[in-house]
Amino acid sequence: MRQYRWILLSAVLLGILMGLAGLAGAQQKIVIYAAQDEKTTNEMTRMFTEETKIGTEVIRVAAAGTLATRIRAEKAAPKADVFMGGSVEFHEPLATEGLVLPYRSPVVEQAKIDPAYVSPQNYWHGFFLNSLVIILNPERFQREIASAGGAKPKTWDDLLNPIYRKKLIAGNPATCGGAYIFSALQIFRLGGEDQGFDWLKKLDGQILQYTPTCPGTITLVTRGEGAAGITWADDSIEAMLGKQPIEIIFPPDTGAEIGAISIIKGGPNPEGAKKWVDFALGKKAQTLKTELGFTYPVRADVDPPKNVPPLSAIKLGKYDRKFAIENRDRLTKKWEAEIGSKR
Amino acid sequence: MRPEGMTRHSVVGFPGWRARAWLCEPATLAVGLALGGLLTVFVLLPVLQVIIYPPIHDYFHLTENSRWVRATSNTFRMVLLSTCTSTLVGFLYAMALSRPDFPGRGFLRLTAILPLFSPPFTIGFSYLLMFGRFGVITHSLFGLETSILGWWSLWVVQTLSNFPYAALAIERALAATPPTLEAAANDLGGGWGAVFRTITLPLARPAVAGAALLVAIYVLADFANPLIIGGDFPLLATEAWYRIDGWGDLRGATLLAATLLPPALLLFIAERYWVSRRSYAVIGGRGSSLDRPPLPGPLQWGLLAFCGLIAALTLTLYFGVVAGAFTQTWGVDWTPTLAQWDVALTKTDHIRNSLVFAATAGLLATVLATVGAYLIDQKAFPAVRALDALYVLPAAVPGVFFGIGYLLLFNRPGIPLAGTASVLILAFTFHNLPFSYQVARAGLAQVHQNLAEAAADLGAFRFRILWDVHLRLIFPACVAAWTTAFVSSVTNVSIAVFLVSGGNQVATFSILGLIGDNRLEAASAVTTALMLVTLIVIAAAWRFSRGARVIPGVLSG
Repeated sequence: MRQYRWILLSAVLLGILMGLAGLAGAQQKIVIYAAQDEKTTNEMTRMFTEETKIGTEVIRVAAAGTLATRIRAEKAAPKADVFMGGSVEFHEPLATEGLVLPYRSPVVEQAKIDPAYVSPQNYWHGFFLNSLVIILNPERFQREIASAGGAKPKTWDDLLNPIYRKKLIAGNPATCGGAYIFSALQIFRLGGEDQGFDWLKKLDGQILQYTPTCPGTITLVTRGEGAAGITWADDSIEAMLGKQPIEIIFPPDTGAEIGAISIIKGGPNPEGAKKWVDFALGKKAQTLKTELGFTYPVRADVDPPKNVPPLSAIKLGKYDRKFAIENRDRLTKKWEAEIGSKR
Repeated sequence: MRPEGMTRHSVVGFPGWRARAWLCEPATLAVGLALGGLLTVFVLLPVLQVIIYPPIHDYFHLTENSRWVRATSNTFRMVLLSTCTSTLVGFLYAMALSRPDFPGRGFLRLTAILPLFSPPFTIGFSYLLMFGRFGVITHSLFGLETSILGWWSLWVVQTLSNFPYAALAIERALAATPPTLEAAANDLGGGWGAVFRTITLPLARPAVAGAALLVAIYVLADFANPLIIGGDFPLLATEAWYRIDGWGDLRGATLLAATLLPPALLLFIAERYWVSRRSYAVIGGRGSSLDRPPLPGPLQWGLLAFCGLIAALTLTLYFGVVAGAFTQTWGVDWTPTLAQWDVALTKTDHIRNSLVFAATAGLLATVLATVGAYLIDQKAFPAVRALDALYVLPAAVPGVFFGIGYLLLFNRPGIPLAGTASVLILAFTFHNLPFSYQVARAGLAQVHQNLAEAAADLGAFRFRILWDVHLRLIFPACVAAWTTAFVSSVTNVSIAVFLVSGGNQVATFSILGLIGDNRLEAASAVTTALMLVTLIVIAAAWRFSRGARVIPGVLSG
């Protein structure tokens, strides 16, 4: 009797397992590697499933590099369909390594999205724009700068004012993407590599601390370790709305990142991934991303976020993205040799 | 070597007994080989996979990057400083903990265990909040405004984060020192100093060396603390992490991670040489209810003051985390609120995953560690040194390295492990094996060989001896081994970040995500919840261990 009972039990369990497996197979889903904040990601996936009936499974990390590393390591058997978030600086190298499936979304034509936001080889689609800003700690500014007759920095050059000596926090170009874009920007802004590096050396005298990541700058400035800092606008606005002590300044000639989406070659569900790209460029998703993520949309028919000046007002500086990506290794090594290692 | 027949009835014939034992027991050989095989697949191969990943010429150009050269010298400085202080603090703490009559012992034990519970990143942030320029303690309380960023802050934080590992390992050894020996020395006229020098210290030496080794390797591999407060102080482990986090540069990361291996291996060899020069055995198995001779008054109070200070520092940091979980905006708007717990509630399944995965990994690690430690302690297997090295090797491997190694090795078409929870559990198991192993070894080193020999002479087979003699004596050590593997799996993020998949995310991974979003309060709520649940599990384990004390006096907890 007892033996039969075991067989029966096993059969039932097997049946349940097979049923579950069948169910999982029947429901389509895509796997997303997302380097953006949780709230935006959750809202976007919810909306996507509602619209397309395709489920999502998300691995979310703030740092795009971590996800890019995962994609490289998973090359033999890709686990994800979509890599979303992180600037094109992360997507472009993956594409040249042959890890990205080219795709051009019909939405680009329909919505007349600026071709600057789409990879010429159709490797990636930009889905937001985020700019570099100067941030201030109001308390330290009042106490140390304003009381000594100093003004708020309005331009990048204002940061060289001796009153800010050893009071600035910035990301380390050798370790974080935003800080590299900032450094490369100085080369284009001042018209040459030598001029750019001279300027960066002067700035170095003002810097109290280089942080390994860009959001790390915000933590140190809001905590008063530094009086001012250089970092991304979206993270700064989020900190400001979170009532952290921070003031944000948009300088002219600023740099920007294009946050991108790409489809991972060999992923389990490329068709679903394409639908995700179309969805992310759609009006609803773009509005959502703009409202929750505080970045500029790539569609002209979506209003910019409330808390930032319009894109037309922030005057992006000259920036040769191709040169910046191709020379990244050389320039960061040069920065380390001439500036970083001298500290 | 003696002929076999002689040793059969001989009590002191070590060499012959050993030789006979492994030759006669194919089961021992089989188990040894199986362990070796497992360790090769789950430790050696992932490590090799990472080492061979960067093209060979990358290694030759390593010194061209001046930042990495600086990172190397910084790493050595930090390891040296932090290991010395962590081991010293750990030893003093262990001295207090191992004395049942020490005032406030339970409280001290709690604070010694607490730092083991915190997921990485948390201590660093809390340190910044409590002791930073606008910190709660330094600024609000004392009106100071000093910059805490830099290498000496990192030194303090590394000491506070790592001394518990040393304390835990050394306490086991100190507690296992029979009070009879100390009392006898005392009766013979030896003062406290003499007893300490001739009995306590020599007996604790393997544990101290083992603890120092582990601390050194943890400091070597840690990137979480330096990430927050290390600032402009590049270290090899952090540089490796930045390559991944900032650049997605797997080649550079694997290259840097590989540079961490040689110093770790050197540490390992140094420890072996230092410890294995002398044999340490304490006659055990016979109960004694004798009390330990009390510490001299001033020493006791001095020790209490010191441990109290360390405990206060630790508690302050944890206060920061818990307070953060109930505030509106950490460090700015201290309005009490429960709002953060809404977020924590959405992460319940992540916390559950953390517990289940870590408990399983802990169990696997304990079994592997105990069996391996036993075979190696008994020198029952021809290649004990190699096996021993394999057991300790994972401690020399940074978590990031392990994570990438597993991902590269097991994520291939046809291998069913990839993308499942089992790959994460296996990575946790093998990465935490060294500590479980070290605890088991320290426990076994205190069991006198005579007991095993007596059993062997009575005709018991090796695994019968393990079961009847050793396991009973080292059961509390087994629980400690499980606890440590469990805790460090629960708090691990460097492996998890590479091996979690959609359906099996763990709590530390979501904490990392929240910190990345600058949502520190929500992160501290999840951290608090995670620590609370972990604490309950550990409390149960300790209770279980103490209740199961087999022979009083030998392993008084």
